[in-house]
Amino acid sequence: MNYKNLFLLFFIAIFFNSCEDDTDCCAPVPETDNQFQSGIFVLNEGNFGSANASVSFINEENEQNSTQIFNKVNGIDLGDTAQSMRMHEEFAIIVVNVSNKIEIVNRFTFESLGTIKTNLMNPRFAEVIGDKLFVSNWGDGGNPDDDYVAVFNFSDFSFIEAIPVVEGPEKMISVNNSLYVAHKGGFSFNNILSVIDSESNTVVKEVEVGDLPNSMVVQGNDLWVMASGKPSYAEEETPGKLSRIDIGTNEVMEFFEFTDNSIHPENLQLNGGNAYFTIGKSVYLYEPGQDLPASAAFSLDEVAVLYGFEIYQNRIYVASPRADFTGDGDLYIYDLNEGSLLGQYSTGINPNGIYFN
Amino acid sequence: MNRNLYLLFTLLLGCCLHASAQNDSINWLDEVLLSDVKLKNNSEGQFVKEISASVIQRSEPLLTSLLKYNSPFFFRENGYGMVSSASVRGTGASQTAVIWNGININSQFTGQTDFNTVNIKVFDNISLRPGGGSVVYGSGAIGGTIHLSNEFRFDGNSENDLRIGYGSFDTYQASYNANFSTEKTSVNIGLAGVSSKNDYKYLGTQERNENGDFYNVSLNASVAHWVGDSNILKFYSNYYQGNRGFSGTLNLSSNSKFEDRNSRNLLEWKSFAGKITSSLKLAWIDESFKYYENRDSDNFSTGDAETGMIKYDLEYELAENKKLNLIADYTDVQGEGTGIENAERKIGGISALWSHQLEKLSYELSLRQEITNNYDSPLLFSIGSSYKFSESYLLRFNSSRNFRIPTFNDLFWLQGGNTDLDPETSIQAEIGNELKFNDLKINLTGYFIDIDNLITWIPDGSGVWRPVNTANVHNYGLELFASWNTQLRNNPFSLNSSYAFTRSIDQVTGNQLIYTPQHKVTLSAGYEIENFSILLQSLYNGSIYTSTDNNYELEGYEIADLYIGYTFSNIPEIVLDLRLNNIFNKKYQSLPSRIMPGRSINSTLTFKF
Repeated sequence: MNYKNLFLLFFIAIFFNSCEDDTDCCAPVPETDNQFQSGIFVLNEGNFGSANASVSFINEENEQNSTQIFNKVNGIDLGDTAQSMRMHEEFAIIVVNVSNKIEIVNRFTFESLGTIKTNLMNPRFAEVIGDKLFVSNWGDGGNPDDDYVAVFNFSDFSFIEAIPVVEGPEKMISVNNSLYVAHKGGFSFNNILSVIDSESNTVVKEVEVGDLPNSMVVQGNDLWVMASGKPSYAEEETPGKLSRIDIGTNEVMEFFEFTDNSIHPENLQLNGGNAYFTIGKSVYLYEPGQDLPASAAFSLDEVAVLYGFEIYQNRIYVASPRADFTGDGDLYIYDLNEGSLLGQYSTGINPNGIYFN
Repeated sequence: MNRNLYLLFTLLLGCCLHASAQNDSINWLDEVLLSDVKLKNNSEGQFVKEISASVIQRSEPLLTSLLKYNSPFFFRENGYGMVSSASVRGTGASQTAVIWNGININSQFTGQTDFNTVNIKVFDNISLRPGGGSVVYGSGAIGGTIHLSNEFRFDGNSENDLRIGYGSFDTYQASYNANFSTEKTSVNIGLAGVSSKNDYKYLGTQERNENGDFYNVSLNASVAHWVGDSNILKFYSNYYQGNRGFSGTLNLSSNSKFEDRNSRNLLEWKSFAGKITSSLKLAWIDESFKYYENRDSDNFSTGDAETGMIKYDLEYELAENKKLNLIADYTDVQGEGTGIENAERKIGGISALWSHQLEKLSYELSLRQEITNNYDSPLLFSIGSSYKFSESYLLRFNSSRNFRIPTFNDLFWLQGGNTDLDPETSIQAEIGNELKFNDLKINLTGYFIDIDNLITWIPDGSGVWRPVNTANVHNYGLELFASWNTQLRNNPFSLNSSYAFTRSIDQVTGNQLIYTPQHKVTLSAGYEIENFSILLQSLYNGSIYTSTDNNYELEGYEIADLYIGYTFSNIPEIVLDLRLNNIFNKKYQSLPSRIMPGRSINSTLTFKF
């Protein structure tokens, strides 16, 4: 009995030893520097208050689906409620809403290049113009008067100043030296598009658009702003509205309003000369300047919740959390012309955005 | 041996005969002394666990602390003193009804009771009844019912009980209870309060529990008075006022504040005329809250619901062992508040309860139908039976249909309220075994619950979160209560244990519901020697899933508390006690990122005179 145990112990010791030898002799192949050279990023916001945001990387060619890439590369958690990511040159700028921070990484390696933790309060989206990083902030969600766009030096991430803006600054788009900020309205509703001069860091104009502007595209000399309208629980529900703004004058040249108060379009995107947007899980094709389409091109029925939407190289990418916003979501890939499902990949918790390398 | 058995048998038979001879007055006695007679008389086929007075006395004052160590129920706590809800037999927070002196007091807004807003020190009796009970107790009695009761005595005695205590995190507690009675009148008053800075350290981190300060005060008064020989008037009143900061989480700071007030009043007139007992009850309940997102600002959201209820219960005793109750009731609830408009509910109901006791077999049939304009109400029923095979073995069976009606938030919440909701309904059945061997008592129950039309909040096509009747869930499991009360070297020694094995399966995904552990165990041991009493309480909560795909879970934990009491004198009784909570300093959380306190201590001094 004793001998047997001794033998077992001896055997185990040898076994473990040999294991160590194995690892010694066959260290893991060093990761190639640019392991995310080509593929799809999915930003998973995680659960509010649970600090489980993550980034997934999917490479369709080799069926690679890597989870938690920020955490794995950098050895730290991404944080609580990742709101958005901005790809700029070789950088990926991740805005982490509840953690009130911005993580800047190399978009090809995901190695951390810097973290901004100050002068942010409820940050939403980021945009870079020249050597300046602009970040929209809601401030205290219940306070309509403390919203701002924070300006940082993009070379050393130092804070420059805060530009006070009207309530609920959300998505931003840059054209030349102008920064266009869509004000969805934070906890309440807004209908303003701010124009900020990126050199003087001042608001030069506030343009009235539809209620709750949610997406913008630039085509030629036009900025198109899609507004979803006020939802059913607002005091008065309003229909979606598409506005065309002249970039030279920053004036609304024309707008197209949906007929029914219950229609709330989102996700305006361009592909070639065509525009696309979504209402619920249906995709609409729109020729800029024409009347609004009466019927959907197709519907994305597999999607549980259409939470993130991108059109890229004639394909539609949808980030879909589970219907109850717990657990892992899915990335769905559709053919843009036919609406047929091309692929489906599991993501992290509550995916909200898709980005490309 | 056989002779002893025979003796025991005749003795018991004698007791039974004796009891039935005095059946009338004993029944009367229950009707007079108890506030929740139905719990005693209409629980056929179900197990009622009464928590002993000594356990209540040695417990921390908030109901969560008492029940988590003394029941197989699982509690989801946002932190010490913060919002707490129960999961009984794998059901959700609004599928357990809390019953105050026979009346359902779950919130009209949330459909649940916050177990940290109930101070146990103002009640005389706390009982648990796992299983369905909507016929008698209304909405939410699916997983089980928890009964908070005050009792009367007419023995001419008076008793006062004063407690003061202090403990970790600047926690103060105090309570005063007084009972006075004559042959005609009984008065019962309780006053209790807790306040805490509650800034405990999150074990394993540099953080503290911030913004978790709270205080609450409970006042309870009950009065009974005989009018003539066959009429008695009873009045119960309970008032609660709480003021809490809602603590942040590990990742999320908070500066919010919650103030709530509950007032509950019940007037009952009971009349005894031969074989007929009639009871008329009037109840009015008011619940209100104010929630400050930012406690430094004057902005708050609010809610207020007023409930009025009238209930007439006519009981006819056809024979000594046959009883019929016919009940008619009407309830009117009016609610208003931020985000809630035109919240009104009028419910009329009729019920019939039939019970019959044979020599070894007892059974009970009951039916209830409600009529309301808010939703289609199902016919509720309960069938219960028990068969006494021997003095040491009793077999129980119960089957019932129960429901949980949509709450005011579900129906009328401006951002998504859905007035087309149907009630959640359940069909359920259980088989229970009660075993008694000398000092050992074991209750083992297996159950199955099929819940339809489960109400869940999910985003609709345009991203607005709305409640819908979606899921169908099957819950099944085993529930065990065991107690052993004996003498060890001539000193009282007791062991109490409970265990729950719970499966709660969504029928579409096949996954276990979130925040529902498969296993929960409690074990406590008490020993008294000379002037010392010692009580060790422990529990194990198994891991819970935090996502419906069951890909993420929160690990299980075991914790233990130690109580030591020393009695200085018996008349007047003076007891000093010390309670060590979480003695192994275990870092644990019953909800993600909501870390509970590590080791802490509190001490109380009790005078009885």
